[in-house]
Amino acid sequence: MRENRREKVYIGIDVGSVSVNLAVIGEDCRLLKKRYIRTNGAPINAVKTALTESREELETLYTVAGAATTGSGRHLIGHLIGADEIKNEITAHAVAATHYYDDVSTVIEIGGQDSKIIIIENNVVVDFAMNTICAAGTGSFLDQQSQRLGIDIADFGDYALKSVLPTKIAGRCGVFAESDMIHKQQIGYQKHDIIAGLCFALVNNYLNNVGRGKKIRDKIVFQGGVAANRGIIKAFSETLGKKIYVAEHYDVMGAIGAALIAMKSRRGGDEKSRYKGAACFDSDISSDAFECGACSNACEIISVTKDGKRLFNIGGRCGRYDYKD
Amino acid sequence: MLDSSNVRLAVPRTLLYYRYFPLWQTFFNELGVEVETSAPSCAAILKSGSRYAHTDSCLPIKLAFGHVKSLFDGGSDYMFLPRFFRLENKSYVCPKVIGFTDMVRCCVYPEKPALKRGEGPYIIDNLFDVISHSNEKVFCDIGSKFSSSAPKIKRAYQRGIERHDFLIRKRTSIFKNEILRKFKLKIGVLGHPYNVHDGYINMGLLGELNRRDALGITYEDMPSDDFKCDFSKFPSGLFWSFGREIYRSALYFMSGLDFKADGIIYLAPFSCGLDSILVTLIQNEARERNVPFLNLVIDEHSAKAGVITRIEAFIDMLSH
Repeated sequence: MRENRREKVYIGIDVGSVSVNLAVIGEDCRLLKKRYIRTNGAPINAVKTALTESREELETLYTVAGAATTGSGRHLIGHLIGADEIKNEITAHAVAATHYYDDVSTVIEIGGQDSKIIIIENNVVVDFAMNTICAAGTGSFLDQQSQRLGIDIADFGDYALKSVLPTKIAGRCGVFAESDMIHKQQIGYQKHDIIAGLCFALVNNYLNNVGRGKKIRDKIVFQGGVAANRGIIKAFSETLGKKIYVAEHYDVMGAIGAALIAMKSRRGGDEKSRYKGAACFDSDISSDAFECGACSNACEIISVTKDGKRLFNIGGRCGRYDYKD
Repeated sequence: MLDSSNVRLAVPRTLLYYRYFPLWQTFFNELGVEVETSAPSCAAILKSGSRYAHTDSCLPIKLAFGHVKSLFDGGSDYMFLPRFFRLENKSYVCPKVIGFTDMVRCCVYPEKPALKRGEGPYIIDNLFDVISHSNEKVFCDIGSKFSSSAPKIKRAYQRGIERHDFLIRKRTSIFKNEILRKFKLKIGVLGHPYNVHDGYINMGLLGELNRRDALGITYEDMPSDDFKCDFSKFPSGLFWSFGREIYRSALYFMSGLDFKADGIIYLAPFSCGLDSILVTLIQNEARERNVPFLNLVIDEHSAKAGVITRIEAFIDMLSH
């Protein structure tokens, strides 16, 4: 009986290239909990950390009524934790943005490997674009440059704001940008002018590639990990000549969107959620890749095992190894 | 001239194969020539092709090299690699396609051009240029390698054309009368035929659409004569044959003549010069008509995740 009195919550997990984000929302859409954990090349471990840390809270105070995953690792983690919905990150980000801002027209989202623009009219996505095949100008490139300059990424934006005269940096390609930055540093430019220059270069690159041909209208909401960078925010608002709204929970908007999607799909349904909870990490979970030899495509298949026993496979073009319930 | 009763001809499953294979197959079979094609594109073919192609080649050309290479040691007598130059007045085939025969000669064939049996299949490299010779004349020249009877060759060509026309009519009629009604969403898929119809290169785009209750409609589905397209706003009338096709089908998909596309997907390899211009051109036309547009860029990535994310998001958007 007591179980029924616990508050129903919905979990969203955004399994991104650089971070894994967790959001827990209540029936009233309130954000009850958020976690931002660096992936460090091991998404399963990062999700395990996120869920194990919140385990007690989730299991004693709440009843998880639904769960959804998004992000580039959504299939792997979704199958593992028993997600009710596995959704692409465009939809997830749009759902979250429209939830917080009902008058949003443009969503700028810059994450670890992807950058996106989403155009919204009357709360409906009408157009979007993602960066093509190059990750220049996304979070991981900024990460790399901050390391090279010996500056904590958290201070990167403040450095940029110190600059009065940002120097010009070629932002078309990450490799060119780096050599351009090194050149400027060697001829005597100050670090903060170079960093501010990089911010403007990335913004221009974003607007010329991802934002090409898109109608960028107010209200503009900025989300994704890079929205922490005040230098980039400034560069956007100066270049566009418009106000940039940074979402309060900019770093976990994808996860919040996923949680909202989980709630929408589960609400009113009689079926029990498939969500397995942190318990699925009690055993030793590992993933391994192998090359399928059935045809000349030689697809790489990821095999996920639990205590040495195969749980499921993903990958491959033909579906031969596809996940089955 | 060889005894054509046991002559084998290799046709790489690439480039204009996707448009004309039924014609070619019928023509050669009528002359008693056995036609062998390469296997559908796969990772192994791309890997081998990338070794032979110049690094700045586009993805389909890299793949095309792989197809030729896979047929090279197959023991065929001939390799069918004609030069497609001008298929209609005032417009041209892409220069990489025109030059493909010569690139193959330089890169795949070890030393000199194969002239005798045993040096790799002999390349049939006749030039298709409708301005200097009719297609029929070119086919007659090709056919004379396999038969000395001019009427027989002519008949083989006629049969080939009939087959080609029959399949097009059949396809457009099935499309109009049956397939069009079966899916919730109708999506115009644009791109060169060797990208749109090669399921390996485009990560199974058409199938992925079908799985999501969406129909991918291609140039081949459109009725050939019903729809007129005005090219007069382009000073050069749009230079490239495939460009004309792509532009014309884009306008047809958005016309509402037989249907109105819910969205347009333009499938373009990263380094295609022609597509880079057309994408913008068609994106503008789509915006004017309020038709959602997605540009899918393909390259040598083997992971499907990026393409699937974009398709999924596009379908989600159209479903609302």
